[in-house]
Amino acid sequence: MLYRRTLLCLALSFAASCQLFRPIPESPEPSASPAPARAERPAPSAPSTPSTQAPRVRGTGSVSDANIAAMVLASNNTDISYARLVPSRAQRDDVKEFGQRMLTDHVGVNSLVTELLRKLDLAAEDNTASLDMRDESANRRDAMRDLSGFAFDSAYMTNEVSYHQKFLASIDNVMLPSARNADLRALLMSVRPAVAAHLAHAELVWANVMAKK
Amino acid sequence: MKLPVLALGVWGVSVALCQPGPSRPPSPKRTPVSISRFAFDPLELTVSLGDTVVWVNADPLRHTATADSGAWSSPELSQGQRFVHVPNRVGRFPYHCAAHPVMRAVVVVRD
Repeated sequence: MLYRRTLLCLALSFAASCQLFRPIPESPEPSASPAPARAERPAPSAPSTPSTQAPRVRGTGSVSDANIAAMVLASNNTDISYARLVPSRAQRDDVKEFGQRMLTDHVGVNSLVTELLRKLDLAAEDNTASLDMRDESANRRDAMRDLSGFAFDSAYMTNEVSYHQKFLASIDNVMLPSARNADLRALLMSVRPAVAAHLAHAELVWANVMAKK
Repeated sequence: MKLPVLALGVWGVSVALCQPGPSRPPSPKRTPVSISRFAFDPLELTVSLGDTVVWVNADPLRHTATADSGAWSSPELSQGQRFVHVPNRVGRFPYHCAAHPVMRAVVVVRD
C-alpha cells in the first residue's frame, strides 16, 4: 500500500513539474518590417502610416542579372525623384537633410551599378517588377508634388519608410536569391546595409515628424 | 699592463649598455576603426590616453565619424579615405556618422 502511495506521489510530482517547467510561449516574432519607433504614440491615421506588413514584391518570375540591374536602377531613380521634390516643399530641417542624403546615396549607388554594367558588358533589361516600380513611383511623385509643409513632410517620410521596406524585401527575396554573377551579388551585398540604414533613418525622421503633428 | 685595463674598459662599457634603462611609458599606438557595411567596427574601442584612432572608410558611400558632443568630426570620407584623431581626455565618447545617424559607436579612453 505504502509502495503504491509512494508511486502515486512520485507520478503526481512528475506531472506537476512538467506543467511548471513547460516552455513559456514566446511573444510573437517582431515583424520583418518593424513599425516605426516610439510605439507608445497613437498610431497615425491609416493613409499616413507606413505598412508594418512585410512588403510583397510581385511580378518577378524568373529574374536575370540584367533584370536585377534594371530593378536596382529603377529603385534608385524612384527615390531620387522623390528626393528632388524635397527642397522646395519640405518644412522641417531633418526632412530636408534626409532628402539630400537620399539624393547623394542613391546617385552613388546608381554610379556603382552603371560601372558594374560597363565592366560586365551587360545592359539593364526591364521586367514587370521594374516597370511596376516606375509606374508606382510616378503616381506617388505626382501625389506629393501638390503638397507642402507638414502635409508634404508626413507624406514624404511615410513613403520613404514604405519604399525602403519594399526595396529591402526585394533585395532579400528576389535579387540576392536570383543573382548569378559574383560581382553583382557583391554589389547587392554592399547596397543592402545602405538600404537598411536608410530605412532605420527614415523611421526616426518619420517618428519625429509625426510627434510634432 | 695595457691589456687588462683595456679588457676592463670593454667589460665596463658592456655592462653599462646591458643595464635596463629607466622604465618608459609604452609608446602610443595607432588603432584602426573600419567603417564597413554601414557600421563602425569595432562598435566599442578602448584606447589609452595618447593613442591615435584611425577611421578608414571601406564603403563605397560616404561616411563621417562625428562625436555626439560635437567636439570633433571627420569630413565626409570617400571609400579608402581615413580620419585620424588623438583623444586628449579620459572618458567614454559616443560618436556617429553624421550622414547616417543610425550608425553609432563608442571610443573609451583610459589613462
